Amino acid sequence: MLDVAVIDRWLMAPAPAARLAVFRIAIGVFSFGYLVVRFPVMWSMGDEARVAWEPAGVLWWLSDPLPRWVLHTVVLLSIALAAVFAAGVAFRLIGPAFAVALLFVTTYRSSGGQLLWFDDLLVLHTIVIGSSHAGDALRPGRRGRGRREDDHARYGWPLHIAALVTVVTYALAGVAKLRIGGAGWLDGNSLRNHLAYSATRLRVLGGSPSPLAGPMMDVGWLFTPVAVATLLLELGAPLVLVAPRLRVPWVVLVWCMHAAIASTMFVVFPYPLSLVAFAPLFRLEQLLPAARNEVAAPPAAAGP
Amino acid sequence: MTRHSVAERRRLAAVVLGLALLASPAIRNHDSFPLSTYPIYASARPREATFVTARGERADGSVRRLSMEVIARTDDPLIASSRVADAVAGGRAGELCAEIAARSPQDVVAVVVVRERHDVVDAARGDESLLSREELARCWTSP
Repeated sequence: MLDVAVIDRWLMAPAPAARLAVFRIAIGVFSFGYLVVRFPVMWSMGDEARVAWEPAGVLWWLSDPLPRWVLHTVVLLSIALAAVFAAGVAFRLIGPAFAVALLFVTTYRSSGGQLLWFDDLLVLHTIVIGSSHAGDALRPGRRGRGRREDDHARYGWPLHIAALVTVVTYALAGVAKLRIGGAGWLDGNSLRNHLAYSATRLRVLGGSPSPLAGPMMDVGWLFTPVAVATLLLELGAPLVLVAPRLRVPWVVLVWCMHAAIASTMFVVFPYPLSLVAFAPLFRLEQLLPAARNEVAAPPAAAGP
Repeated sequence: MTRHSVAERRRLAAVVLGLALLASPAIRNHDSFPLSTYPIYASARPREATFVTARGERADGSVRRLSMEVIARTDDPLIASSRVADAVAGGRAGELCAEIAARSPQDVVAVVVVRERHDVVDAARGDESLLSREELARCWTSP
């Protein structure tokens, strides 16, 4: 039977304002770097009239691509908002604004006829954290108050929800493998063929496949245990919420999985590879021993 | 029922609603963004696969490999394969061919949009892998 009180205690368990603030900074810095590195791709959005325009998600209503100047404005605005999001300034306004801007830019990019799965988790985390009190600590003008007694549920629930979103998305990926691939996905040949397919696709489309792809074809015995391990990691992801000891080994193994995909298939999932995707599972304030004492008290208006 | 338990139940309802939203694409079997079924690498992929792509030809008839940027104006193979496959599926192979020809290097005199079937394991090894090739469109670059 569902124990409402137990779930509520988990959800509303207090956390320090600094923990949530460090996650806010990590998301903001990652997003800023990501948008800047991928700026040429983002800037080239707007040519979708020549390809199949398939509006996705929240842009389902957009029957035609938008003018380039609109997209350029939103891309530039998103980069600026990412920086201010990281800084935590005017977060009540900037948090939701950046979440909306990032959702728009990434959704638009997924509306060009091919859904992209690299940004899902980043956007979901940004929506959760952008809607929270993540700007109460570690921001300009809020230093030196020296209060340590700032643990509060309002700083805990966004992190718990973000952690829940992380593990659920991995579990859904595992479910998809069983639903779409079935038992055939586990025999190893399918995983080997996915790797080979990625290399071939790159080759025929004018790219250069990973030099590791060829040698990997000669270690076919490896793919069955890797396929089983992948499925266990994904389906077992929710366990890390109830068994904290599993968090470090789970994150290490999932990171290795993404690193292996990146090195053998040249398919990069930057958000999990940066480790920011897994940050809400950990006591992030411990990264800032000096800053821990500088956490400011939240404004009275933000009380429970 | 106490006031506290009402709050608890409301929060639980919000969490359950959020989880249902996250899982809704899987339940409806409809992928979207940012709520997704996460289908990447989920299929049981066979060893043979079909690709739509384009290649250039020089004046002497030799084949000139085209870059992904020339073929699809992207550095992402997922987007590139989607763009060329969608164009062909939409009956716009000729239009795609002309666009690629306009971006092609100077030594290319003709562009051919092709559908190729490969043994992907052999292709990954660098061995001969082509099983079949079908020409979908041919166009010439401007002199």
